[in-house]
Amino acid sequence: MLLLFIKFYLAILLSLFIPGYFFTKFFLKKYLRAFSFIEVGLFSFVFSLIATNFIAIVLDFLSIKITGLSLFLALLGFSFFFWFLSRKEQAEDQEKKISTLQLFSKKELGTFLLILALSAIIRTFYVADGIVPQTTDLGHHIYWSKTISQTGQLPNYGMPDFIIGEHIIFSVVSLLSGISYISAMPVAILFLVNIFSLIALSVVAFYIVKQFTNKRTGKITALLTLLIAGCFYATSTPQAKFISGGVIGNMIGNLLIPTSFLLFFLAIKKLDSKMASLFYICLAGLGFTHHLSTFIFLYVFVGFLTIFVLTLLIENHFNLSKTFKNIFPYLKVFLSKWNILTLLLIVLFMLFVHMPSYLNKSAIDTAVGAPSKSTRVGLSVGAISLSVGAWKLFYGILGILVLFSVFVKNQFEKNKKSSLTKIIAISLLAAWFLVIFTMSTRPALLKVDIISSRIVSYITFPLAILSAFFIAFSFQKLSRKTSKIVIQVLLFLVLGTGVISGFADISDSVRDNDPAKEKEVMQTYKASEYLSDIARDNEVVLKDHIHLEGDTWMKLFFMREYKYPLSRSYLRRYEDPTKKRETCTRDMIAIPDSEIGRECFKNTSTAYIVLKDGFDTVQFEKSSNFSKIYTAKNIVIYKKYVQE
Amino acid sequence: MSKNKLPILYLLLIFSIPLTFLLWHGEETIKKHAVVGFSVLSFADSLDTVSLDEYSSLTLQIENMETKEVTYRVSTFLNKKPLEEKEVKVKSRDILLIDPGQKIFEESKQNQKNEYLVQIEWSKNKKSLRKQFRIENEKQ
Repeated sequence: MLLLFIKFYLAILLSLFIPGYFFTKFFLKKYLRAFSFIEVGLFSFVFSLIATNFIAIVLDFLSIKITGLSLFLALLGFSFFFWFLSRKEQAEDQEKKISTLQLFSKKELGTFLLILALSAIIRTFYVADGIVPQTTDLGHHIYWSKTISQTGQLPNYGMPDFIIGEHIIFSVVSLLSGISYISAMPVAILFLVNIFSLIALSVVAFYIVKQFTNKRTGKITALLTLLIAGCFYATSTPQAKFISGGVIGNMIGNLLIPTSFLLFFLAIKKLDSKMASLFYICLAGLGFTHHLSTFIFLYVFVGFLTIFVLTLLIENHFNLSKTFKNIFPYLKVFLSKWNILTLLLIVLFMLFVHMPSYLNKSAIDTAVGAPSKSTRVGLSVGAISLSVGAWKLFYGILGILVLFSVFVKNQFEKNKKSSLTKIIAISLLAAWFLVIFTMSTRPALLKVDIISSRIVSYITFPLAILSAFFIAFSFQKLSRKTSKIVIQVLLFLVLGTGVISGFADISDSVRDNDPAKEKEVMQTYKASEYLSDIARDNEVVLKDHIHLEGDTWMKLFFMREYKYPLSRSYLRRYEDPTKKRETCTRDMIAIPDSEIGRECFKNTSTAYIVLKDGFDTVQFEKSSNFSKIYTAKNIVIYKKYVQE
Repeated sequence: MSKNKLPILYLLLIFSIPLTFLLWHGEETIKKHAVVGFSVLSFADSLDTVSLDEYSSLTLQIENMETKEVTYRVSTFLNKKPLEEKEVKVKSRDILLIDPGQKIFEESKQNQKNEYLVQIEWSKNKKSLRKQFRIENEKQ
């Protein structure tokens, strides 16, 4: 086992840290010493993830088989290339002035690490409870990762539901380390992604809030953001629940969205076109990973631009040329030769190397337009409160109100013009919350046709920053007017209620550690092994998704195709008023000996039925058309008897 | 980047301890604990047609994944008529094969339909397996 762990860590280093480190070193060399190791670690992780995806896509494009060796050499070559470039440039730029970007003092760094450790511990225990791979989403995704490992090629999904960036990293780690997919490897990687998304959120909170308040408020906001996002409601969506659930796209999206905002903001603040290039690359990484996250980002960004331009127009009394003159220096940062080249490369990559599967008219039409189902018409504030946590929502809303008051105060009360970066920071934070809030509650206003409960999971992060900002800002103000003891009591009350609400959520959502459930999953695996040996190529397996545990993972034992074995889904899914659904998977289990059932067996070539013992098994026990060929404690397999 | 290496070490520990624990716990649970506590009984193959000289698909496999030896009283029926009954002991984490095929063929008589139902029952948990089959005509 020790060797396996060493190989796993080496694979993680090679695919999730080293390439990104040298890549970032090349692009951000002049800031590298000024950044704290937290920021360097964040950028290394993010750009390694993106680089690993792009390397695998390029290997596939060049018809080079994706194997452990080819990946090892490609990742090493990529790292060496950027190491060489950064060394070369180092010699030329040695005298350049080092930026003064610094994040935390020693004491603050200690607090940061302590909160991060607590966040990691909470997630570890939650995830460890259901460590045997069994969740539906993860099973679907890991099938594709295993396909890459087995074929040495990227899969052709044939559907817009999956995007390549969700699967490559698991294949790479498995191919480099030899670790099985039926292990804790997938959740371990998602755990890392989640922890880095907390870091990204905390860092972006620091830079944004610092811009329109002061450095101290920025630092406190960063620490409180980490506490609220990392420790309060830590097991709900989109955090630990998404790690064990394998909601890969959302998890990576929640890492890349704050990182994109961070790079965008730093590019503006430093007027650095290389930073802007990294912003574009980060966005491309997002685009190749998750459609919903990309969609959310674009909506928020358009919202930001609207707020920002409107504010500027108001400030300049609707003088367009003056407004444009104000924006132009910043616009130049994003349209330099570096950026044009980067954008061109991204477009060429998409056109000639790999186009994300969701970029087609029908998939876009599905997501944009008037809500088409009751699940897409928006949620009430009460439902949002249940989803994100009442405490966080309450202080988040107070945060947006205070943000608005800061904005108004800057614009009117002082009677002096705000700096552009200040307006950008305020607009960005406001848009991040307001756009997602509107998309979740009133999707029709923004022509969003996506399940509202999926959108609302993205509001957690801006809410964490806003609630942290409210506490940091108001207590900073109070501390000037009130005695220390009152401040301490008030802070204790505010954070105390947060602890009660946030940790009650943890105790509510911690699943019962039921070993029986894990045994049932193992029985599903065992039955799958048996069936994969005996089921001939022309024989189809049907399993019951309603009652079997870990049934989605059965496809990893067969590896025949994505929709093999067939699955009897939840009964409500067969009743869809918007389109006709197939019903054979339901009828072959419910009424196997009826005319409909017999016809379905014939049409689908179904030979085996896998059921949980005692759940819908009566009809098969009584039937003379089925043999019962396999039984374990909780699982049975029936075989359709084919008469001559 | 900060010259102080200690916080970097702490950060590495924050990542590596949970990761190592998750991996170790995952391997332990999957490979050891979760597979204990149930047994699997199955036919060696699912073929509907068997021949007189090759009837291994009627072989019963008992895989005992419990922590102790288990005794089964296995009864075999052919077309619902009792054929044989015997007691077998399966050691912990062992697989036992029971081959009632020969007995089945001795007792079977071809009828016009050439259809048979072999049923195997065992005392533990009152479970049973059954299999419909026919005998390959050219080997009769």
